[in-house]
Amino acid sequence: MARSSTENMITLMSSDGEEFMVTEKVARECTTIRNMLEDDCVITNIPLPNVTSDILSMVIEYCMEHVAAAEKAAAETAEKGSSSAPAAAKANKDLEEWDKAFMNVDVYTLCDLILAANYLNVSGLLDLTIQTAANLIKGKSPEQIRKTFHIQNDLSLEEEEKIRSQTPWAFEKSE
Amino acid sequence: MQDQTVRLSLSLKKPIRTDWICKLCWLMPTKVSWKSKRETLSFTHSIGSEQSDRTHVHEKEEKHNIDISRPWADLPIELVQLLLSRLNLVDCLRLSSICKAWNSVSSHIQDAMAYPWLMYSTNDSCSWRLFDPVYGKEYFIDNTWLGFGKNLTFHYSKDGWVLASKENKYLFLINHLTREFISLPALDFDIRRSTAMSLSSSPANSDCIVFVVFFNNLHVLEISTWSRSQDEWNKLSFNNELGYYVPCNPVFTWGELYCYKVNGELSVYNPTKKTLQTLEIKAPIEIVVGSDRIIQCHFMESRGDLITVFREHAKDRLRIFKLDRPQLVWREVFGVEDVTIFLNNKTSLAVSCPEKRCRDLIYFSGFADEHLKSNASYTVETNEYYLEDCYHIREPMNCIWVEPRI
Repeated sequence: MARSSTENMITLMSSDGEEFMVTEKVARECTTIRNMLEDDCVITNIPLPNVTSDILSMVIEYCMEHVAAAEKAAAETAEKGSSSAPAAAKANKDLEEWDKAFMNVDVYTLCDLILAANYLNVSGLLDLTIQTAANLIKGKSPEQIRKTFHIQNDLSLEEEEKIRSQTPWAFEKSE
Repeated sequence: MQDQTVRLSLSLKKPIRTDWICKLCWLMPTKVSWKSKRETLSFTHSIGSEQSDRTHVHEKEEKHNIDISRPWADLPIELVQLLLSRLNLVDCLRLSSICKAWNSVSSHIQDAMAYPWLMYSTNDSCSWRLFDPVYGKEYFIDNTWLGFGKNLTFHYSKDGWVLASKENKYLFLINHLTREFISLPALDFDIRRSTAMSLSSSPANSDCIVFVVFFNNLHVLEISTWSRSQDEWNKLSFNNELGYYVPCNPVFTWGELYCYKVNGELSVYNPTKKTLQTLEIKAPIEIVVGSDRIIQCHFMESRGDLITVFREHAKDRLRIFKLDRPQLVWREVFGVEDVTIFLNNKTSLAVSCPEKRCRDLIYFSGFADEHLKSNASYTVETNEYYLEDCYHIREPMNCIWVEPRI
């Protein structure tokens, strides 16, 4: 399945007016855009007023990488008749490593990526970002979680005490 | 935004636009920032001068600096709920105490990952110790609210509830985390004698049935059942041919109660029809009653499948068998895939593994070390035990695996 040179191109426009031209295949990784394209196949210019250029560029980077990985796997399967398990496992591992490196971002960017992945409906990216955020929460005390995500505690002392008193054991320091 | 909405209307057809605007309303970016550490991507097809935009965004960041203080606290609540499904119960409880916005997910904490903790009495007897084998954390749950928590014997657990007895006669259902408590009618026989117990579902359900199977002798099997609508136990007696049962509790699945017999057969009790049927199946491993060969057998349900796990002597390979229902044959399996098994004489559980590192892992209801800080375990793929001392698993006297549920 060689990439056709006449592949449809879609222009995505970020909230700050920057334009990104991507292949339709890459754009289709975003379910939100895919649905638009299916409803109206002549769209070539899509404004995304919820996504800033820096975040949109990252979302596109993610989609391109994953489309490329899927194409590579499909090409190998077509070539050999069936995909070899070790090769597929290695490709998966490589993609996992890539995802891991891709998630090396600050918490603000991570938050924006979650919002963008949710808005554009990129299920793989939403999964990855939510898991990354969950990993940042795991095993931390409430104070540490607030510090990690720069969240201000807006609960009154009484409210916080009430929440904690329902399951005091979950807030005790365990070794 | 006003400006961009206008642009929207130019490029999209009407139905899509309305849909889209709905989404816009709750998904506006809460901050604009520019990360200098991340290089701008060089897209083969990207157009537009990124260089000139950089300064543009920098200005924006300064302008929005005041607004960026709460991006995580402002995360839409359905996305915070997604986080819950990736966290264990304790992390979820802590998450819900972070701020007002995140506290609003507290009613969804049942979405948290629940994998079993080992529950047993501590020396001071005013609390139970719960040990989380996956993260190696311990929690102490006060039991003084119950009044008699220290004298309880655990028999069976399901969905966060424990079926426990006191003075070998009185049975209770307890959720130690929510402090819910159900007192059952007294039994007319001593439960120290050969009895096995099971629950059909979570006792929070009104149709939950409690089963007490009493092996009166080799020829008679008595099944007592109780549900919330009953004041007394319902007792039925059945002729029990070839009556040896393995000392592990029966399992309720597909609307029937399965009791595993030493000869590999299953006695199946249907609580609706009130019938006992025997499925003739060849034993996967022959257990000779009264012989010196010590074989531990565990019996459980996993996603509708019946599973038996056998362990012969201390360090032998564990053997796992799954029931092939149509053929009525126990088939050996050599991996448990994405399931983690928690073995115990009273309740063995097979659950979707909480972490990748628990894949293919079997936990024993005892500890590998003398400080009781890590569970003894076994890796199916490599047939390796995790034990500090070759043959010793330090198992608390009265312990049970319980999935934490709030």
